[in-house]
Amino acid sequence: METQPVTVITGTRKGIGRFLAQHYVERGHIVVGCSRGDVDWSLENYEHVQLDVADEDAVRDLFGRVRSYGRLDHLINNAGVAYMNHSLLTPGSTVSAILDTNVLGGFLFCREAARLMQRRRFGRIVNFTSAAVPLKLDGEAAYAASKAAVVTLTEVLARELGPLGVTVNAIGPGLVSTDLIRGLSDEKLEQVLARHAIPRLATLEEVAGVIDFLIAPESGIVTGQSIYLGGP
Amino acid sequence: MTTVWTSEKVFDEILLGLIEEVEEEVGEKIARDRETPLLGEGSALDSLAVVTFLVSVEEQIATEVGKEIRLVDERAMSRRSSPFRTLGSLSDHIEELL
Repeated sequence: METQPVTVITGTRKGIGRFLAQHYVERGHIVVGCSRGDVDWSLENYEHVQLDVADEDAVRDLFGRVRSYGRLDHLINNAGVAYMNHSLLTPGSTVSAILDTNVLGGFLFCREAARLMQRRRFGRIVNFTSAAVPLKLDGEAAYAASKAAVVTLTEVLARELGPLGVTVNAIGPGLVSTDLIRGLSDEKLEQVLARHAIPRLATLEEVAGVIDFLIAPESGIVTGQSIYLGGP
Repeated sequence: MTTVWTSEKVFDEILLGLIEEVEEEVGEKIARDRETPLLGEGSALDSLAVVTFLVSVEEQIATEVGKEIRLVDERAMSRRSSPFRTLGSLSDHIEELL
């Protein structure tokens, strides 16, 4: 069995996921990451799997590879898609695609990760929700609904997996300078920021700081929580 | 030659090997018998112990048989007679899946 902690991170091709992959490799973890597209970067102690997070068979195959490390300590469920448009102009196929990645994909990763984690009665799962949930952002009905589902999933899984030594929490990273907010106009960006207690973009280091806390061995009693950067 | 996993072979070589683990978890002796109940009245296992036992069975099958199966699906859940009643009925269910 590996002596280094093993961490699975979804959506590592770019943005927050890529940053977190590097962050945890630097901290001595073995990181298994994934994304739909291929990555144009590599790291020592990093293994990449190309998959769609909503493809159940592919997710099971990924965890089959994780099993060969003999342990799984952390899952960071970062993969997600955003879509911003008025509900009257949102096709059903878009809603399905958002739910597939953000809810079904998140669920499958939690399930497969917890199956491995429960063997050692230790595990940390961090899901990604969004400020769009508490702020009820207009223009993000389908996205916000999918992220509200992530909050509920987190809270129920916290109960189901708590007796198995696995904690499940969520982070709402607020607005971070990544591709996900590139679709926002400057005006919309200002409007959204103005609704936060701390009205500025979050840094990638600040996102990692919250995750460091949630996955720490000392955080074994912290579960079922959603932490929103920037405040309510 | 491919091994045929009969219900008896599953019971002897997969399930019996995992009983000790369950005993440690529930703090009770469990009879090595096909009629030993898993669910409902007379079962020493609470609902969480049943879940972790079934996960261990799936893992053991993956290791021993080299096949990834899932014991719980809509078909299994909708049967009038649950395949998870006893160690014996679970062995029969696994034979069918293999």
